[in-house]
Amino acid sequence: MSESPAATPEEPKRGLRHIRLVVALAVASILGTFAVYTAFADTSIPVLGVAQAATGYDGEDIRLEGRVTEAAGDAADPQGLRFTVRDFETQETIRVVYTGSVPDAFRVGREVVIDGRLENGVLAGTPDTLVTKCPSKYEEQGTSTDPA
Amino acid sequence: MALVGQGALILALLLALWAIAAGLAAATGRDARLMRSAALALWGILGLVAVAVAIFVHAIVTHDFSFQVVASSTSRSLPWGYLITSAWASQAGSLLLWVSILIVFSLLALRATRQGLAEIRPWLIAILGAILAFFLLLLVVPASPFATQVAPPDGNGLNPALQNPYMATHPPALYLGYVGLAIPFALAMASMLAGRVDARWVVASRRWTLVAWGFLGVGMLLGSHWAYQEIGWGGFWAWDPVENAALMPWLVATAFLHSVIVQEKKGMLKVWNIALIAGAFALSIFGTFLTRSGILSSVHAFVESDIGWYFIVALILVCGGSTLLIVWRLPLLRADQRIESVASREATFLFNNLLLVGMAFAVLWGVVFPLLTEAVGRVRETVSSPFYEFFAIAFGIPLLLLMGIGPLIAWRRASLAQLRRSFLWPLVAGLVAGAAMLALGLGSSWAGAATGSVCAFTAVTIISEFVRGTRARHSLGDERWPTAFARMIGKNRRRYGGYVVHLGIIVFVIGAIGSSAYESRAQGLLERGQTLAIGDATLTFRGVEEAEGPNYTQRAAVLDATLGGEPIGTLAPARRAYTREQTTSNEVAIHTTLSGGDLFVILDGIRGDGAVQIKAFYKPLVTLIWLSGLIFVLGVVLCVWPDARERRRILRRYAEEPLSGEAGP
Repeated sequence: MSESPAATPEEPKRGLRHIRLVVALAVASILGTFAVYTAFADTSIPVLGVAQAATGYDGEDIRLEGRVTEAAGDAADPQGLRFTVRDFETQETIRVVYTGSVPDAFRVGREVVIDGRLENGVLAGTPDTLVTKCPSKYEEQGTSTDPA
Repeated sequence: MALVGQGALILALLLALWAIAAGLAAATGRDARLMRSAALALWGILGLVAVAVAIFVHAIVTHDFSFQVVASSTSRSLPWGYLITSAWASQAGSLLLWVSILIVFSLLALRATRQGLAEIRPWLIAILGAILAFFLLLLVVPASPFATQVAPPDGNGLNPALQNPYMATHPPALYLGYVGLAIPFALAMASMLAGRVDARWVVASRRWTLVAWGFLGVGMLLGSHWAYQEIGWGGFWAWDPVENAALMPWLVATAFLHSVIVQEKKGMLKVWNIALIAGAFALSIFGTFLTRSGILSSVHAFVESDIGWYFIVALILVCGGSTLLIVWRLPLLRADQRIESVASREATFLFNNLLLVGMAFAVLWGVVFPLLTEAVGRVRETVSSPFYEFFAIAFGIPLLLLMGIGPLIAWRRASLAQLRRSFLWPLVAGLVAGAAMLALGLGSSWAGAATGSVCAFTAVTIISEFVRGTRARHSLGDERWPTAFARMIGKNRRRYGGYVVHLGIIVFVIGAIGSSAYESRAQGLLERGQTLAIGDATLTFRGVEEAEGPNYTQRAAVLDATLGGEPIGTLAPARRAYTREQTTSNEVAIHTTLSGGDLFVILDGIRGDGAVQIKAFYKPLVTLIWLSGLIFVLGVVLCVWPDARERRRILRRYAEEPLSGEAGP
């Protein structure tokens, strides 16, 4: 903020100090709200690849990324949609059980992101959190490993 | 033909480089011939880009699958309308659209600066040439629309999520917004380079910023409606990184549009304004980077490629260059006056700016949080909706309040008597609305009740402004009420256009709060004849119907719907299987009630035995969100509409006032 040093003589200095104090307090309260909330509110979850998730996150809420290698069942059934995701780089896999909305582009070979809790090595997906990254077959890159 | 297209883009890139060189030479050497040559280079780019676009569109409509982009984003069975919109579905196509808009805007900006801003025009051409060169470089090297291959018999088809009429409006509107922000940025930087840092660049850039900001706002709303209808999860905004990418520059541009009024009227906040417009443009580049680099998981990030590095360099140049320029010109950017009282209009504008920038920063923090956590050696972490919603409420409610206070408070210093006179009735309205909401049982969401109360306060302040102005005109002469109302707006379009936009924001907030804080939802597995109840509504499953579309087959769950015991018709949420694209899409069914709420039904799945998994929402007041878009557009058009009287006044002022600041280097 640019403030002029060239004050008109009749301007009371006390008024200027007052406004500066209020502006400083406003900035401080905005920053303070931000700092306190980000420090104390538990709003973030770890985003993990399959290989990372397999190393000690049992019982924790995570966001899992991977490629779907097989899928069975139906998210509409009480047993849910059951699929396996593989790590992007290694051969490690994690099984996922999921109920809720399934994105239109979901299928074997797609890269997916899903929230859930790891229990005994199986991810219990949070309903309606399954997201597919857009299939690269709709792009020209030609670098896709998408078998679809 | 591909070779001709690629050649046109390479030539356009060379012309952009020439425009930079000639512009810089003209600015420093004051050579009129070089200036003409630089301007001609921009016209040349326009012609060459037009050739490239024509070849690209021709390849699309003639199914020339030897173009890699055409093969990867279209197919022979794609309906004709979507063939056209597929032009910007691909990365290369969207960048080509970007460049096309930018060159047209650049030429318009150059034309608009002929009077009163002649000194900055060579710098302006150089900066616009640099931005053009960057995007043309992307089109020539990493994202060429003219890369070829042996033509396959058919293309891959278009992503079904993009096979929607909104594809014709949402991306172009967003691009017009993103690209539009390049013009005020270029005007600001050119003015600083030329040493002309008075309010002229502010006046020249105000309309550009309004147009860009208007398109960004409309683009986001169109995208929200698209997501609401097509993606089918039951919401309109998911705080996805790419959605946030459009929101951030919009918030910063909103702050700019308010703080430039203070600079224009009072000569304050000069550094702040330049920082804001540079920030808004940098965020628009950042938004493109997010969309196109695929660095963050997003439903909208359509591709991962090394194009991100180009954007990172561009971002560093924009942020670093702007900072250096501001530091260099700091002695010229001192305020003419300063804020005298907290109870003044300039102070409310300043607080509004702090909140808007604070909100944009919170969104930016959320977007880059995964990258930050990774950068400090931790496991990548991400934040989700509650984080953003907290800041939307914490900063949004005071912002709404300031929206009501700002217009009614005097410049410089308001007296207590004036404050009491202006705010008594709005305050009463706010308290009554809050009490009424609590009495109606709407206190279940404290944020909803508080926001409703603040909305009432602000709406009454705005409406009272219209009433006061009309009454004043009516009482002065023999104008009838409607004439007095229309002339009041006509004679002060910017002010009343701004109020209309504020009303649009209030209507949006009421719609957003109503449809999210007071939403009801239900879901269940229904066999034929079974009923799902949701609030006052019921849905009874009658059976599955199959249908054939031009490039898909569809299975729909037929549901008889009632509301308050009265039948309201049949709803048929469906799933479509696209043959060529080998994928399915979810088609939601929506019934809009007379009270503006939506009964929103999703078919989550069809079981082998014919039972269907149904999810339903009742979203009160959601229609207000879409209505707010129309009000917003009306307000923006009022503000932007050319005003010959204002233009004459500005030109007179330019003629009378000597230019402030030093002469250009």
